[in-house]
Amino acid sequence: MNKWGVLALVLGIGLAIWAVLRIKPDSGSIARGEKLYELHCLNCHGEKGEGLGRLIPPIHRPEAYSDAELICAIRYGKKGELQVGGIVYDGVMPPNFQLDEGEIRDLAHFVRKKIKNCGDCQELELAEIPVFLSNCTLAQPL
Amino acid sequence: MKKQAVFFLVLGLSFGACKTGTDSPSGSLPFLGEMTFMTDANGRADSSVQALPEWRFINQNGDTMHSKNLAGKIRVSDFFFTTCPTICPRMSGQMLRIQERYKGDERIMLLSFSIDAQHDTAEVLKSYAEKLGADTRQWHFLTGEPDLIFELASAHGSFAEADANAPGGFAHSGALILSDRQNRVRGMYDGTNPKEVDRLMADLELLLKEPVEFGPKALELETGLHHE
Repeated sequence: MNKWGVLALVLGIGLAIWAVLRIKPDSGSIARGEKLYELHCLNCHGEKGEGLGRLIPPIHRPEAYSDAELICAIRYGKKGELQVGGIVYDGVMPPNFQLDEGEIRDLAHFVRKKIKNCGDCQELELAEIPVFLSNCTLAQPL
Repeated sequence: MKKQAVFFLVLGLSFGACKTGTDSPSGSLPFLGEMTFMTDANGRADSSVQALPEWRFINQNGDTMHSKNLAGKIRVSDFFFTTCPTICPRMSGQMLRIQERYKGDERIMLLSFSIDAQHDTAEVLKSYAEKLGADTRQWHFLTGEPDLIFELASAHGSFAEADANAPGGFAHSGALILSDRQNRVRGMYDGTNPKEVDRLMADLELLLKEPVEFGPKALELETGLHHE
């Protein structure tokens, strides 16, 4: 193998390691988030985030809510009127104080990537979660 | 008629013991409940199975509804409450699937019994039904004395009780219960699992093909569950 071959091999291996390091935490977070979704969200919001009639709002519409609203709703729940897709919902979503910030990140990550199908969403950093939570002015703790 | 070797429980009313007609060679569903075998004076064998108790509760319109008015109907029943933070929305979603498939079919009724009488008034149930998208000509949401509803759940082979430690204050099964035209339980299914509900609908097709007089006699209980 000439020196270009060796260089290509080294670059290839380096690229593979970089890809694994970059992707693995991401997919781990999504897998953890999926389990949390099944445990805490799926019963009401459905397997694909489709919601239920005019009782429970869908959460698969990308334009329906921001990351901040998502994270605040996970932690503090929601109460009061909420309009999604022209339908007004007025149910109560219970809070999830038992979830720590890492779990909220994983859950939010799963919802963004797999429920909202946001392909180009940047991964949420753990450090961002307390910042979001400290600004939950719209949240209505029960 | 002389009773001989009397009485035994045909099948435990649990998912584990539940076997359906879809995988039975005869293509008919089992009878879930206490079965009594008898022979008459001529030695001819006969049998009967306990029917579900009759009841009288209030529906989502505030009207008193008597189960006797449902005689001859195939029924799918569940036990839920409107503020349930866990499995009830999934159960209601699956009941909705059943209604969508059999919409307008007068041979079939859907019944959702609330286990939280204090909160789930007729008005609350009506609002819940409307928002869910239920057609209340075929699907009734019922409320009544809690102990009677819990007892009815038990008679169905299901389970419901007040439990301060359970989410929402009630512990209950997520079962959907299929009963036939003679008010006999013929199947139980996990109402949170769409595949189980597919199985329920396949079994319901078998019931639709059955003659009304099929199987052992339905024994009516002497005491009904009445709530005014």
